[in-house]
Amino acid sequence: MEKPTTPINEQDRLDALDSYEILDTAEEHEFNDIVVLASQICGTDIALISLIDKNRQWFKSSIGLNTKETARDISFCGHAINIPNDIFIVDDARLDKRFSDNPLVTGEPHIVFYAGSPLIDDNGFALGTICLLHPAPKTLNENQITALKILGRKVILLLNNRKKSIELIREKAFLIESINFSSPFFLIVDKNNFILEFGDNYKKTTPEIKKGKLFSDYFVLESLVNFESLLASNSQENKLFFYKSIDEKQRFKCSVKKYNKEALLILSVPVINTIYTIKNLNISLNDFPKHDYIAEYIFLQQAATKGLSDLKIMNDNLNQKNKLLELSKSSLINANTLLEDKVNERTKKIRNLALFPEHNPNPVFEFDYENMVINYLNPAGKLVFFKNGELTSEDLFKILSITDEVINLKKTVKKEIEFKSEIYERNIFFIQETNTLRVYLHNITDTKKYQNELSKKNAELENTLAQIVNLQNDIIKKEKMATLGLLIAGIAHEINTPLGAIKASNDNLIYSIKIDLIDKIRELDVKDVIDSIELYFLNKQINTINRSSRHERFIIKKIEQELQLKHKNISNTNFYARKINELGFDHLDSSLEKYIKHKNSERIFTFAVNLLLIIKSTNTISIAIDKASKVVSSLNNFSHGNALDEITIFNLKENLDSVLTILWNKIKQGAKIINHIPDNVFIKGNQEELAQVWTNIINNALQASKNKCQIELYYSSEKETHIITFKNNGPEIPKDIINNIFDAFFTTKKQGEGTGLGLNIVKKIIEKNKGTIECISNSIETKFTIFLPIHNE
Amino acid sequence: MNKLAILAVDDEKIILDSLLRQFEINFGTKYIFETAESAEEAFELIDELLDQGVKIILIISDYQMPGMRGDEFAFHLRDKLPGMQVILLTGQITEKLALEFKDKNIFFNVITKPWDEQDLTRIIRNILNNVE
Repeated sequence: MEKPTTPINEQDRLDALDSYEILDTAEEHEFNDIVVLASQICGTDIALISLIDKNRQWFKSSIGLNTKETARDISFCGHAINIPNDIFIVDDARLDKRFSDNPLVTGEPHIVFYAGSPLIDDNGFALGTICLLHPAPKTLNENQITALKILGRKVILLLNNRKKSIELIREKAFLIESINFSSPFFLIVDKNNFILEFGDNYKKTTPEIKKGKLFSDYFVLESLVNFESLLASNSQENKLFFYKSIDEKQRFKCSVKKYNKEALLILSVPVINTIYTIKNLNISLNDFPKHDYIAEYIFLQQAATKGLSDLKIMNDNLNQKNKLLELSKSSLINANTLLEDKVNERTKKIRNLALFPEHNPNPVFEFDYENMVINYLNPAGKLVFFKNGELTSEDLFKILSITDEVINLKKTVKKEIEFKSEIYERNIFFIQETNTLRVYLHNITDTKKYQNELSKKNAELENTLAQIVNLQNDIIKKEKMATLGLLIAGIAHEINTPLGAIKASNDNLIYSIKIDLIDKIRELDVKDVIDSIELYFLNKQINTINRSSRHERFIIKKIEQELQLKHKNISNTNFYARKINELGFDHLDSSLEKYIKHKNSERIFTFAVNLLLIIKSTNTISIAIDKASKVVSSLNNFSHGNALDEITIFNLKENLDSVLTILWNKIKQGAKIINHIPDNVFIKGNQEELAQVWTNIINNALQASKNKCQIELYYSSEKETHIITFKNNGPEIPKDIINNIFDAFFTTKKQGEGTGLGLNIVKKIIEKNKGTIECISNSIETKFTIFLPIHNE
Repeated sequence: MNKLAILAVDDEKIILDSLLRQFEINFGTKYIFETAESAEEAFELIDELLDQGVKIILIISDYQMPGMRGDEFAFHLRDKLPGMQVILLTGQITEKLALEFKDKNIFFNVITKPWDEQDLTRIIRNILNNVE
C-alpha cells in the first residue's frame, strides 16, 4: 500500500484549511445537497466531501457512508490532492498495487472505484476533495466528470461564503458588543475616509451625517492621523486622538481599531468642557460619563504613560546627580592632595628656618651661657640691633630680658619685649648639640596693632548692639502706645455719643415735664386734658422706631398735602403734620379728625406729643446707657490691671464683640462685618492679649482698605483645635512679601507711620498661647487663620 | 416763601431727634429745622430746599460720619450757600483737628458731645440774629 505523499506547502495548506473553521462542524444541508447530486449524477453508492487534516481526513458531508473520518495514511483523497488540476480516478482498487491491500478496500466499505476532484481554494491550496466511491468497477463519462468538477467548485463557493458569513457575523457581534460598552458615537470609515457606518448619536450633528460621505465633510482631526496608514499597519496598539465637528460645537476623543481589512472602527466620547489633566492623577472616575469604559481606558493609558515618563525623568535626574557627585569627589581628592603638599612645604620651610637661621627674617641670637656671651646669629639681628652702634652683651641681656631664671630653666620661655618702639615676641630654645640657648625674636608690632584695633571695634559693636536693643524696646513701647491710642480714640467717641444723647434727652424730659406738662396743664381745662390723653393713647409710636429722617420727611410731606386738601382753613399744616408723624401715623388717619377740629387743637396735639416725648426720652436714655455700658465693659477685655499672664476661659464671641465695639468708629465709615462666630465657643487663654490680636488683624484690614472692606469672621473646630478665620476682600498682600509679614520691624508703611511690630506681636501672642497663625492672600481675598489648642495645658 | 432753614446732619438718629427737640423748644416754628443722616442725604435735602426758595443759614454737623466727613461737607457747601454758618458737633476733638482747621483757615464753631443746651442755643441765637 502506498501512503499519500505530503505536499510541499503542507503547513500553508493546513493554515488555509484552518481559516475556514470547517473541521468537526455540524452537517449543513447545502453541503449535503452536493453529495446527493454527485452520487446521483455519477451513479455511485458513496459520495463525500472530504477535508484533509494533518493526520486524518474528515467528511463534512457524506452519503452512503457512516464514518465521519479516517486516517490520512489510508485515504484515497490524500493522493487526490497531490494532483490539483485534475480528477484522480482509480478504476479498480483491487488491481491497483497502491491500494490493493488498503484496509478500506480489503474491508469496509470495500472500495473498488474511486474518483476525486480536489477542492482548491482561491490561493491555490488543496483543502480536500469531493469524491465518489463504489464497491464495483465503474467508468465516468465526459459529462459526469465535468459535473464532478463543477460540484467541486460549488463546494469551494459554499466554503468561501460560509467563511465570509462567519466573518460578518463576528464583526456584527463585535460591533454590538462595542456599542453596548461604549458611547453610541461610533464610526466605521474606510481607508479613503468614506463613512461606511455611524452610530445613532451622530444624527444630531449638522449637517446630518450620511453614509458614503467623507469623514472630513463633518469633522476636523486634531492630530496628524492617516486612516490609510492605520489600516496598513499591523500593530495592535490602539490609536487615541481628538477631533472636532466642522462647526466647532462638539469635540470628541476616540480610539481606533481595525474593523476589518478595509475599514477602521472609531469609538468616540464627546469631550465636554473638561480638560483631563493628569498632573496630579487625582481625577476621580466620577468625572467621566456613566459606562464610559473607553474614556476610562484612555485615561488609564495616559496615566500609565505619564507615570512612566515621570519615572524616566526621575531616573535621568538621579543619573545627573550621580555624575555631579563623582565630579565633586574627584575635585575633593585633588584639593586634598594640594593641601598635603602645602603642609609639607610649610613644614620644610619651618625646619629650614630653624636649621639655617641665616634665612630667618627675624633676629636670632645665640646665648653661650658658659661664657655668658650673646652672639648675633643672623643678619636680621644685626639689622635691627646694630643701627645705632653695636650693643654689648650686657646691653643685650637687658634688652632681651635674659634673667637668671631663664638661664637656669633651660626651657622654652616666651616673653614680649620692646625695643625702639617695636614689639617683639621672644622665644628661647635650648640647643643640646651646642649647649647653648637660642633666642628668637619675632616682630609682632603690627599684629599687636591689629589686635588693639580689633578689640576697639568689638567694643564699638557691642555698644551699637546695646543701642539697637534699646531702640527696639522703644519701638515696642511705641507700638503699645499706638494700640492704646487707637483704643482711646475709639472709646472717647463711643462714649461721648451716647452721653450726648442722654444729656439731650434728659434736658428734654426736664423741659417736657416741667414746662409742657405742669405749666401748660394750668392753661387747659380738664376736658382738654382728657382729650389730649385720649389723643396720646392713639399713638402708634412703635412704628417710628426705625424711621430714617428721609422717610420721616416723606411722611410729613404726605400728611401736609392731605391736610391741605381736607382742612383748607389751617395755615400751619406743617406743625400738625409733624405732630401726627410723631404720634406714629404715616397718613392722615380718620381717628385724628376729632382732634384737628378741636377748639384748642394746637395745644391738644402739643400736649399729647409731649406725653409721648417723655416716654421716648426715657427710652433714648435707656438705650444710650446700654451703649455706654457696653463700651465700658469692652474696656475690661483690654486691661485687667496687673494680671499680665492670666489664663482664663472666656467666651470668644463676647471677646470679639468688644473689639468690634471699640473699632466701631472706624468700621462705620464704610466697612461691613459679617460675624459667623457662634455664641457658645469658649477659649482657654489670655483674654487681653487675644483681644489685642483680633484688634490688630481687623485694624490692619481696615487700614489697608481705608475702612471700606468687608470682613468675615468664621469659627470651626477640628480634632483638638479651635480654628478662627478672618477673611477680608481688601487689597492683596504681594507674593514677594507675604512670607515676611510676621517678621519683627517689617512694615510697608512710610517711615514713622507704622512700627512693623503689629503682626509680629500677634504671632508672639498666638505662640505664647500655644497656637499658630497662617496667612493666605490673593486678588479676591486675604485670609488670616488662627489655630489654638482647645485644651491649653 | 422766604423762610430761613437750619439743617442738622448726624449719623445717629438719637442726636438728630434731640437737636430737633431742643430747637423746637427754644425757637418755636419761626424757622424750618430739617435733619439728614448723612452728608449725601444732606446734599439732596439742600437742593430740595433751595428749589422751594428756602435760605439755609446754619448747618449743624457731626464730624465723624460714614461717607463724607463733617468738615469736608461744610467745605463743599461754601460756594453753594454763601453766608452760611457752620457748627461742628463732635465726639472727639483733638489738638490735631484744631490745628488742621486753623491751617485751612476754616472757622467753625466747634461743640463737643455731650453738649450743653444753653450753650448751643446761645450760639444759634447769635447766628440767627446776625443774619437778620
